[in-house]
Amino acid sequence: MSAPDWLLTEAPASRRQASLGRWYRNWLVFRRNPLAMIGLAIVALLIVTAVLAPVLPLQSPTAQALSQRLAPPGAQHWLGTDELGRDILARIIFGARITLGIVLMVVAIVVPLGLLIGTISGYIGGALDVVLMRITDIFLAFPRLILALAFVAAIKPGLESAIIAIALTSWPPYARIARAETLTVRNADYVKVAKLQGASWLRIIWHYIVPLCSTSVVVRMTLDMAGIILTAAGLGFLGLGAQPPTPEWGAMISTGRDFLLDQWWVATIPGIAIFAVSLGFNLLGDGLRDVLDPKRT
Amino acid sequence: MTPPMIQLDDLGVSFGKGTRRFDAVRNVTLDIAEGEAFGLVGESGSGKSTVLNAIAGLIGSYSGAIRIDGAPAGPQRTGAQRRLLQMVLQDPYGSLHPRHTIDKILSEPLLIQRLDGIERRVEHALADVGLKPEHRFRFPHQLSGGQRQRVAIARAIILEPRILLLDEPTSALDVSVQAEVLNLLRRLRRERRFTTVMVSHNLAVVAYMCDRVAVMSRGRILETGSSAELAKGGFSHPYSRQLWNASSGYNRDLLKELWDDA
Repeated sequence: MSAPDWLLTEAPASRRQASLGRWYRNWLVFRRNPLAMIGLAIVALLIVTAVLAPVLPLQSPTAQALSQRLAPPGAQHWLGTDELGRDILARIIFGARITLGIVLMVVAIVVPLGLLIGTISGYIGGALDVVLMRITDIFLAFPRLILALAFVAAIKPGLESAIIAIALTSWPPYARIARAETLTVRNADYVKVAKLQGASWLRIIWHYIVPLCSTSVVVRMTLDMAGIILTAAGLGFLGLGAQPPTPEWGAMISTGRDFLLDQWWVATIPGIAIFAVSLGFNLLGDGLRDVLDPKRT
Repeated sequence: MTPPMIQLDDLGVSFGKGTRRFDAVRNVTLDIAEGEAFGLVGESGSGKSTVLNAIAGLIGSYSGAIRIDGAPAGPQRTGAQRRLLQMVLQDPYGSLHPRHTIDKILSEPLLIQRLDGIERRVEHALADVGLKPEHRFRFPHQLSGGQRQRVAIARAIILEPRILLLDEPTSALDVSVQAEVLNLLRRLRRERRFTTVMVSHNLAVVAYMCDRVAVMSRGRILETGSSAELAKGGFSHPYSRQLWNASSGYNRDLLKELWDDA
């Protein structure tokens, strides 16, 4: 039996085969969408270069060479140098590590938090639902960047504060989605049967409701990653995110602004990087939405 | 004398408050003996499913008393009390979790009740309801309606309950599949001797499956009798007769003697 046959069989012989088969079917659908594949390629490239950055033959992202400051893109510096003579290509690639780190940290905080609040609020209902949803509304009512700014200003500027500030402002939509999905399934027959079997409410939420919410949350997450990158860049641009000499993309644009007319590459290239990665995550999210739609069986 | 397996004493269930209050079930008193097959018939909205849900402990507030196996059974029940009673629902498409394999669906009740020998019990339950081992790791959408209902039955019997509640177990199925599922339920009942309470609007199905039948309308029990009487059309209440006549096909003359207690 060939590998695809083994994956696509109607009669899987083990738990693992059944779930791998489902993943493979999803992949077959995903593969048919060229834009989603472009998005996946961009995101994969970002991840690979970020992981391999220390072993790539790059110049140091922080080594200054004042004799070569503001050199245009050329053979020696493919993407030119900045105002302190640092290689922009190296800074972009090392910056990808920081960007990716911020995005992953924010997602790791926001997704479980949003899922937890949303599913509990939707499933338990009553007064708890009202309280949790009003708290969510309060966070939702603040403009994202302003709240993040206020938070960072109140603590101290830096990467960790930026991550916490962005997380603080981006969980409410997840809670809302999770709650809405929970409301549609909380009275389903399979939940009723689980109650009859004596399942606790925690078990019902974790085993019955979360698997059905997670697809919309995952899609929302990939669509949100672009926004997280932009917020991180915005904080960096205002000097409240990563601190020099850390090569963060937003901070790079911020310093490049002074030379925008004469040395366009200093600000433009990190801008292109932010644009490309945001686009990649958005395309990936769109593709995933088509594949993971729970209505598609 | 052993106490009845299920005892309902003046059960009342209402939804809503004040002027919007709706009495779904009123003054229902019933004794169902151990091993008995009891049927509840009536039109949609007559309260028969609500009675079943109350017995199952899925209704939070009610008046009157529910006793199961001699012990009072409210909405808060212990694991052992839950295990005593399982239910098969009407819609096999809605009662199986779309992201769980059949294996997971059948293991869940065992994990919840902390039983051992999960492998063996799952294999056994599948064989019991006439499913093949290769069905075990499929998802519900890979099965037909009849097969799904078999899974739902396997899930109910895997805990070895003493009471099986059946909420229109065949009305969502094809006519040809209905007979298979009914025969399966009859066979399981013969083998395992559980008490069953079946809700249906199909008199033929109830007459075939049950020993004793109660006719419900507007939340009340109008009449109780043996299913042999029901099959002969021997029920005396005008509503029961109407239900029986309606089940034999459309007849314009019946409109003249339409019974309505409103």
